[in-house]
Amino acid sequence: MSIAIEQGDTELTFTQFLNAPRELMFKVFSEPEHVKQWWGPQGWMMPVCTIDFRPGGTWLYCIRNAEGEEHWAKATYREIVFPARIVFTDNMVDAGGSPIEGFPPRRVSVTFDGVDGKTRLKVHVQLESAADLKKLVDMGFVRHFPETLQHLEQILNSVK
Amino acid sequence: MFRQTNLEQNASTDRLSMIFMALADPTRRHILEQLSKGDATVNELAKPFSMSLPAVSKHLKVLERAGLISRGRNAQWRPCRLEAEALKEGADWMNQYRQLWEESLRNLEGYIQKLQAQERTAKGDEQ
Repeated sequence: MSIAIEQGDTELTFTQFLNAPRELMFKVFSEPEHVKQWWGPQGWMMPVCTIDFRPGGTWLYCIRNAEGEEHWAKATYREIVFPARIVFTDNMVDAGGSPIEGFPPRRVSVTFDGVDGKTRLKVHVQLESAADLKKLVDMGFVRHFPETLQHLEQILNSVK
Repeated sequence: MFRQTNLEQNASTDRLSMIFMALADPTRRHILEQLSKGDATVNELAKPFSMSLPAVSKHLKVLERAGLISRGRNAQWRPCRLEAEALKEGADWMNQYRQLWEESLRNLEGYIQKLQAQERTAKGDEQ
């Protein structure tokens, strides 16, 4: 099934229908042995995935490709409502788990709506310190932004 | 983002964080706004602020290091110019995240199917 994407300058929404009950979807998003199986781009492994699943708890993970390149990230859970919603903030971190300075954290809300035993999955991403970047976008600074988007569309289309 | 080498990755990480640090300050955003109307000298940029020239110069240095502005080398008054390309990198920050989520969600669909097939098999074995 296709994924609908709405993209603003500082926010991003994905909507996807999945042929599975939302209780299962919730589980697949919250337990490391499941998350390891699907999170990350194609061809990347997840050698580290530690989840402390409670509000204020963290999800620390590392993704690694065949060349040994690594990216670390640490998310902090803000809200957990079984089986309807998971909200967390996501930070780029170094291998020690310390945030990389200057990168704005992103707030991610994952909503699971049950529809006849299936799930309407909605992922909403918002830049936490969006105001700064948005101001610049509004003032017309980010002139090349549409070109960037167009370029991305081309890449995505070629992948499909 | 995910196709870059480590070196390139580190370089662009540092650059992005310099851009965000530069944009975090309201005075620097005002300076950028002024420059979007055209090149300007330090004196011209200092006018709207009750700020000393050295203080404005300090802000300009941060903007220059982040690649958000460039400064003329020839003229004595070294006019400042907005470099819009650098701002594009700030916008790319969201695009990288979009790619990560989109690929992950595609994987998720396949994984769910696999998981349910396994469950069905397990149930079949029990019966």
